[in-house]
Amino acid sequence: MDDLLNFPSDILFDILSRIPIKSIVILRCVSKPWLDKLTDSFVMNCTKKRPKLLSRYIPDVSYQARSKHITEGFMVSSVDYGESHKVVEVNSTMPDIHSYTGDFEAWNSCDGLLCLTYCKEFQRKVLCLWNPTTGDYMEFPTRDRCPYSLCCGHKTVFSVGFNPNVNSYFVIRIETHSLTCDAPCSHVYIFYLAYGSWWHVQEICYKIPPKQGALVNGALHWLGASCTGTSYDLVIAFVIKGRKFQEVLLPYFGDMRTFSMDITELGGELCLFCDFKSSVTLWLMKDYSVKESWTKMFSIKKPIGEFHTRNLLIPLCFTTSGALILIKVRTLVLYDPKDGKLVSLKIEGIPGRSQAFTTYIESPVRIKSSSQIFDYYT
Amino acid sequence: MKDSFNPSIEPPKKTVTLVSSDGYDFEVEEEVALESQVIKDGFEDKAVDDREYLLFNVHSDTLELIIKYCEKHVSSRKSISAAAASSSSSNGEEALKEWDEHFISVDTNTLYDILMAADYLNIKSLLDLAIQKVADTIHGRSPEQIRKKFNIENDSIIDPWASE
Repeated sequence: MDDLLNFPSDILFDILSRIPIKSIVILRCVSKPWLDKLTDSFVMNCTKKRPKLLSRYIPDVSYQARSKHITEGFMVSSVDYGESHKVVEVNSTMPDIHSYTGDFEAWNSCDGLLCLTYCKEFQRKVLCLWNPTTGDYMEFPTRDRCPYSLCCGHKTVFSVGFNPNVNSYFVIRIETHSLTCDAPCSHVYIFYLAYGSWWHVQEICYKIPPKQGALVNGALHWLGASCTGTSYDLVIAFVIKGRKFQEVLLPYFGDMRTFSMDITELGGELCLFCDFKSSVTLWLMKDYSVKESWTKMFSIKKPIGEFHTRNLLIPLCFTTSGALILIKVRTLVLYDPKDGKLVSLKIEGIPGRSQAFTTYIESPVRIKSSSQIFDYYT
Repeated sequence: MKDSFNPSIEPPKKTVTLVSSDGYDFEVEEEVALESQVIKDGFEDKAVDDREYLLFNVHSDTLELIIKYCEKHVSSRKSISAAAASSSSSNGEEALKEWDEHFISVDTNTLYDILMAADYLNIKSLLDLAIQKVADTIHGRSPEQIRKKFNIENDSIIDPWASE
């Protein structure tokens, strides 16, 4: 046979998309041309369609007894959320985060790198970038020190992203201080992996609640409020290339009163979801930064008796059959737009309740040499 | 007066001539040739009496295999739907899958030719079968085994996780 590399690229993509990423990476050893061809960005393009669902489980004694994958009450595992609803892979190579079960947060992911924070011994909070596909991870301090002596207990959000100008992955940290604090509203810090230290970037006049960010179209997005505002009714975008903060224009709600709203990334698009009185409504921004392109996708009727629970449902991802997986108070539910029904989602082999859910794509990116993926973004 | 439909008298089968890249003629039934989306598309555009297709990219050895595949699929589709109509149980699909598996178990050169021909003729099920076979061939093999399989020279020792 001709060398595999001589296949037309769409066929080569099709072939590689049927192979686990670990096997693709091994193919780099075959020869120099293969190594040159199978770059990180090439491999990621092949596997882009296969995101994974990751959850961290609340330790359950009865479950621990049955599972060998639990490390002192922790379990991080990923599932394919195709039709099968089965755990296909439980990661054994995860950061060493045992002995403390509380205060774990999965913020977001970028190119398969997950941004996590958790407490190590004596409640020392650490930040971690982790690639569950390769098992690669790196911990670094969440902050240096607060420069304001009379600082309130500020709230912090973290997000990971990639800056093509600097050619490096970075973690952004936004601290929101309360009005009684002598510090300005919010501080933004960035930690570039290429530089290895926190930089104070700017101050912004928005309050950012500690919720997951959404990386869409080269910008990170969070829910926000104006400095003096009381309700979180803005979406703030951090445009990575220009290092600029701006507001995202939102769809017109009519005279509907929202209890709360939030944003997330769904299938590569920015997703806004609002809690109305009796339903949760989802919009997708089909054409990035075009206000008119906000498209109402579903209105999910709230289950009776749970009308006033805030943040009842958080969209997570679509299944291969077009149903939507959502988080409902630490459990997973499945919404089928065809019949409008909301059913609880049981995935064989994992316990029902989890402390954190997030999605990521499989990627071969290594954190220590992670500045080499530039061509993917150009 | 119209004739009533009589299943015992079949109309004469229409045929199509496929010409391989090395100049051999293959006469096949129309419905077999129509398994190829490319021929099907061309068929709708063409004049009725022009029933010859020159396949510049397909060698006669490969074309023979492709025709064998299409004939098998046309005939088993018929028997499967016949079995379904008479609601008798049949393992037609299972048997076809087994047949496919056997059909695609060929050496790498032939597999490559089939894959390229299926792509060129746009026969979706066959292309899918061939791609899956290549993927299975690669998956789980060591670099050394792959080099052997594809006749690739070992030119370096590389850390697989090294980026670019």
